[in-house]
Amino acid sequence: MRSRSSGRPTSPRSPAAPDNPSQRSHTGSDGSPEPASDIPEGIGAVRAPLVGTFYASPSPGADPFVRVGDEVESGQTLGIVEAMKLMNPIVADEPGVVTEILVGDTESVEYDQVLLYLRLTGRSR
Amino acid sequence: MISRLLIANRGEIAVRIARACRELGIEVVAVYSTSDRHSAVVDLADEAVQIGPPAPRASYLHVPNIVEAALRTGADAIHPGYGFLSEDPDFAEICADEGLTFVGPPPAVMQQMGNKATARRLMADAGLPLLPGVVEPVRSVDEGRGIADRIGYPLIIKATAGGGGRGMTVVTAAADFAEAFSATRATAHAVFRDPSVYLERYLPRARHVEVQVLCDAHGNGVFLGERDCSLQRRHQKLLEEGPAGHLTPDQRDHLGRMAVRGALSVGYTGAGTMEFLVDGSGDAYFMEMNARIQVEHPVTELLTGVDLVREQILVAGGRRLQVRQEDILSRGAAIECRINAEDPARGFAPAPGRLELLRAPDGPWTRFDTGYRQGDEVSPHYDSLLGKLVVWAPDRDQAIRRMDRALAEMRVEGPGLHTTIALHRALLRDPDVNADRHDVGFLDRRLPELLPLAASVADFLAPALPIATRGSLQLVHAPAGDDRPESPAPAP
Repeated sequence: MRSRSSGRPTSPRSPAAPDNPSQRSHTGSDGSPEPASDIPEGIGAVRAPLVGTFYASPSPGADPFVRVGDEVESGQTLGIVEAMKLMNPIVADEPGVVTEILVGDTESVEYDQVLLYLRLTGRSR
Repeated sequence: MISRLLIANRGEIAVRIARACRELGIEVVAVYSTSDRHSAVVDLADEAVQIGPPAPRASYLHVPNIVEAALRTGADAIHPGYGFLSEDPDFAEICADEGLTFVGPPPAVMQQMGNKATARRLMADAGLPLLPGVVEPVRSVDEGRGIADRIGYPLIIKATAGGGGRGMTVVTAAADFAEAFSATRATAHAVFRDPSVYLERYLPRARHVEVQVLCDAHGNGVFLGERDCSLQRRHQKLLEEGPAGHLTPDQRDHLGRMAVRGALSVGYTGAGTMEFLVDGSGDAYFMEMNARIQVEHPVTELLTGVDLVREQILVAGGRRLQVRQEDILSRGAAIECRINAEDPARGFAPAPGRLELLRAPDGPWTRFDTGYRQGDEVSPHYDSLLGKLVVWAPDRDQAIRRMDRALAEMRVEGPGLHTTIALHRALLRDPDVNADRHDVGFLDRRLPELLPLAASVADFLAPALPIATRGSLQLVHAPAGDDRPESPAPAP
C-alpha cells in the first residue's frame, strides 16, 4: 500500500489548483476547463499535451524558462511537464510574447489545460 | 485497505464502480476524455482528471496519463472496469510498480488467461474438459489444415489474444479453411497486435454458459451461479440471463465447482468468469476465462444478492472472502438486455447521436445501469452500449414479462439514434427463446425473421405476450438453520 508522501503537488481539481482565470476561456459547471474557442485573434494558447507536473524552470531555484513579457522564438522551451519520471519540454510552435502564465511551478496539470498565452508575432505564412 | 480509487474507465461501468466506492466509503477519482467532460461519473467523483482527447488510444488507453492522474490525486488503487486496460498485464504491472493496487488478478495470471491457447492448456491441466483442438498457436495454413482434419468441422479459429467476441471465425468446410485462417490472423494482428490463432471444434447448437467466480488472495474461491449468454450476434452478447434453466441443478453445481477449481489452480484473485460451451446433453467444455468484471455481472447480482464490484474491491484490498459457498443461493430468474446505440436493421451499425430524450424504466426489480444522461452525446469513439436493463423475477416466465414491460417503458430518442430495444422485444416473443431452446447460432440464423417483428414492435403493433399460464414458481426459499443443505448446490 502506498503511503502518501507530503509535498505532492496539489490535485488538478483542488481549490489551490490553477483555475482558468482568463477571460478568454471559461470554466465548465463541473470546474473543468472548457476549450477556449473564443481566443482573440493573434493570441495563442499553449496547452498541456499530457497529465503531469508543470515545471516553470529547468531545475529548482533556477530562473524560469519564461516570464510574462518575454519574447519567445518558435521551438523555444516554455516549461516542462513531467510524467512518469519523463521530462516533456513544452515548446512554442510560433514566435510570440508571453502575455500570461496560468500555472505555477510544480503544479499538476491535466490534459489540454492551458499553461500560458502568447501574443503571436511574426506569424510565418 | 483501499481508501481512494481511480476508475480507469467511462460509461456505465465507471458509474457502477463509483457507486460501489461510495457505499464502501472509498473516495473516487474519475478520469475522462475531453468528450466525456460532462459525463455522470465526473459528477459522482470526488476528483476528476482530464486525461486526453476522445480517441481511446490517447486517453482511456493512455497508461502514463492514467497512472500520473492516480499518483497526483493520491489514489491508492485503480479499477480498470472492463475493456480498455482491464486485461492488460503490462498496465497491472506498472500499477504495482507505482504502489497502486490494481483491482484484478496478479499480472502473471492475467497474462496466462489473456492468451487463450495458454488458458486452454492450464485448464486442461486442472482437469477441465476442452473441446477438441490445440493448446498452442497454429502458425501456418498447412499446419492448420492438418489439425482441422483431425478435429473435424465445423471448427472455430480464434485469436489467442482475442476478446470481446472479436477475432473469431467459424469454418464449416475444409475448402474455406485457408481463407478463414489468413483473414483471422490479419484481423488478430490489426485488432490485438498479435496474429496468433488457435483452433477448436465448434458446436453450432451449443449454449454459452458462464460461471461467475470470486477468489481472494488467500486461496479461497466461490462460484455465484451461472449465466446463459447464448443470444449473441456474431459472438457479441445481446441478452444474458440466469440461471441456465436448461441444465439440471446437479449439472449447474458441477459446472460451478469446475470453474472454481480452474480459477484457483492458476492463483486467480478477484471477480472472474469461466466461459463454457454446453452441448445438448449438458456436457460442458471450457472456452476461456475473462479476468475482469463483466458487462453482464448484474444478472448474478440480482440472482444472489452479492454486490460483485464491492467484493472485487474488497478482495483487491487484501480482505478474505466473507462469503462461503454454502451462503450463496441463486434465487429466481434474471435477464439483462444490452441497450446499444446500434441499428439492427443496418447490420447493427453504430448509430450514435445526441440523447434528446432518455427515460429509463423503473418499477419493481427493474435496474438500469448507464453512464449516460438525457442531453449527453453518444460518442462514436466508444462502444455502443447505452446501458443495461436488468430485471429479476421469481421465475423465467415472469422475468420475460417484466423485461418486456420495462423495455416498453424505455424511451431513447435523438436524431440519428437507433437502439436494440425493439429487437429485444421481438426476441422475448420468439417461441424458441420463450421455451429456452435457443443456442449460440440462433440470433444470426433467426435475424431475418426477427427484424420485421422488431419493426412492428417499434410501431406499437406488436402482439402482446400471451396471458401467463405457464410455470410454477421456481423461487426457492433460503434454508433456515438446520435445514441448510450440506451441498452448496444452487437453488433448483
